[in-house]
Amino acid sequence: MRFNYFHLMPYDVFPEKTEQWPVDNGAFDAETARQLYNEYIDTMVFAEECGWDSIGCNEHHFSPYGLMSNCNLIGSALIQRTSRVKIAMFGNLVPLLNPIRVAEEYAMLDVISGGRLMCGFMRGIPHEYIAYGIPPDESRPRLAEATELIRKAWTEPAPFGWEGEFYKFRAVSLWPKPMQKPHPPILYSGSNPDSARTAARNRAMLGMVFIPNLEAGRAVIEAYLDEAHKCGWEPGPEHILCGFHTCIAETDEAAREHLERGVKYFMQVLMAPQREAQQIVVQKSRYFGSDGAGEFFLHRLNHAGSRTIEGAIEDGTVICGSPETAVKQIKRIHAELGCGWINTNMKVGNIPNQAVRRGMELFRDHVQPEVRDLSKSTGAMPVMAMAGE
Amino acid sequence: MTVKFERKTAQLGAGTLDYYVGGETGTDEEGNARLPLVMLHGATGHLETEVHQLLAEGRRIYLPITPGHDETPHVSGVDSIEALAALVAEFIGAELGGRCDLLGYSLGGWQACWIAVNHPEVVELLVLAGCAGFRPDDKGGMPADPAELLHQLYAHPENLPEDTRSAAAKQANVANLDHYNLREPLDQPLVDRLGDIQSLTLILHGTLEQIIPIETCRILSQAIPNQYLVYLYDAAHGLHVDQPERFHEVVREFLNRGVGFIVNQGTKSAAE
Repeated sequence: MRFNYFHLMPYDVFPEKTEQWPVDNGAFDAETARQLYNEYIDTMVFAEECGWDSIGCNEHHFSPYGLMSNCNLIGSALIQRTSRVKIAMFGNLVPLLNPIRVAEEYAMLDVISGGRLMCGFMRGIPHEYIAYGIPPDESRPRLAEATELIRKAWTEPAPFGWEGEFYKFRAVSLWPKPMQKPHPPILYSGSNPDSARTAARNRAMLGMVFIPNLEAGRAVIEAYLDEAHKCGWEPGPEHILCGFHTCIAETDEAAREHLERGVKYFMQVLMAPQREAQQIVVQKSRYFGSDGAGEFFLHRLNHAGSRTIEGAIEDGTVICGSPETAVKQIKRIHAELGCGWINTNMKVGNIPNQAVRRGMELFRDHVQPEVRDLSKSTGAMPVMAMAGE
Repeated sequence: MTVKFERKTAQLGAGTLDYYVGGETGTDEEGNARLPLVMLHGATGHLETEVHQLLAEGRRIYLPITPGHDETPHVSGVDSIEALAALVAEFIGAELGGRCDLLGYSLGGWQACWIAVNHPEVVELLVLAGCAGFRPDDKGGMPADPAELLHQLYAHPENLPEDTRSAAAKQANVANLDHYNLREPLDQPLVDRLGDIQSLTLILHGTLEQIIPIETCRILSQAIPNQYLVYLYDAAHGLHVDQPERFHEVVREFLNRGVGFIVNQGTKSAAE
């Protein structure tokens, strides 16, 4: 089993409960943010020492939910202070961005890191489309076209042009190209069967978060595996990453207490502003198809805060407890989902950074040694070349 | 306004050449008359599509029919791709004033390369779309199964216009390839001479192309001295049918602006 140490980099001293998005930035304090950035980066670097296989972050806009409008900048800082771990950019919100710029920045990170990059090609969550003025209806076709274009930019041996639906470039030639050949592993988010199938069609890793229960997660993975089979390839556990809020403490009670407080802040303060914006986008656009994914998303959005930590533990959708408990939970996740990667988000809401670091030490000393050998087939990193690459 | 393409016959020294012609000669930004555009069809013969109409706005277009295709007679002594190229070069000299922009699709691209190599004086700008004749190791090629062939020809067959030609006539067109010995996947003598092409060249390739392998683009782009390769997204071999507007936009800008087509000129109002 491999583990990704994921960080949202929240502005965790935001005091207000607001439901307005974009969030008023009058309360933003640059010195506080500077301290947070440095503390978070220190923590992520510490994850290498604690045995995580990769460290990563992602892109969000216009709220204290996350301080990374460009996660590649954080990735570059992480590369300079680590030597072994993969750098997991999970990732850039590709449909919002210039795909050539994405290709270039990812290639730079891969070269600077000596081939340690894992690339998220994220569609993003609905309200991000407001931030960059991109029509949500175009999210899927933009992601599809941009994916092909970026792969082409990474693999073409000579200058080329591109005449597409959303993107037109008459002369492209990347300097640098990625170090990994044909290119770094690509991950698509896929928390419903439809998006999981899209990941399979693109020969991408599947990244799944916020599943309501393990049974629903298994259904998503099966959709991914079935579609991949139809497309002529067979993903292994190393292609499947499942994400969980993770809180490890000396005792089950202490872990639950930390996580309960962190989730409350996460849901009531950090998530609240974007919840309404997301509902507007989902209801007023065709961001989701007509297969019920929109309803599923809204249901999950509106009920996420109502679940108790005990219920989430019972459902297997969080990792929370003493090291002994965490080991059992990870083994259960592995047995029921068959994933080869677990994405741990330990800085949930405003859980104190000291508690996060203590949990990482416990993971290093007592958890990771017990679960390291699950999914022994994960010896190799995923290679997911399309035909012709 | 719909452009009517008129069928005509040119009397050449070697024999006759049937062709379609349509569109009015337009002018460039400096008021000079635009060169005519000669478009050479693929193995299945001429089929008027949306892109012909789009390109004919402000440009005179000539569409020669390969002798033996579409129930036209063969020309005595014209039984190779080089001879075919010479015939079309003579046509350009005799009927078009001696110089044109040249666009070849598939088999027509192969032919266009020979014209540009052996008769550089008649070609200003060269466009090669899904170009045949450069398939190393027999990669790609047309599948024998008709359903698979249709699938590989068009990602969007719904864009095909009504085709009144009989199945037998279309089969006869493909059989006509043998008359010119055009079954060889790789024309090595031509590969060896691609470096002689003097024309600024645009190479177009569909992102869903299977009949022409990607290696064709490598051969062309490495050997032709002054070229641009552009991928048409979501297009198979029949890229002008699959994506007529994208095809038209990139070709029109290339023909109108030459090397300047790589510069985004913005919207018309912004340019003004």
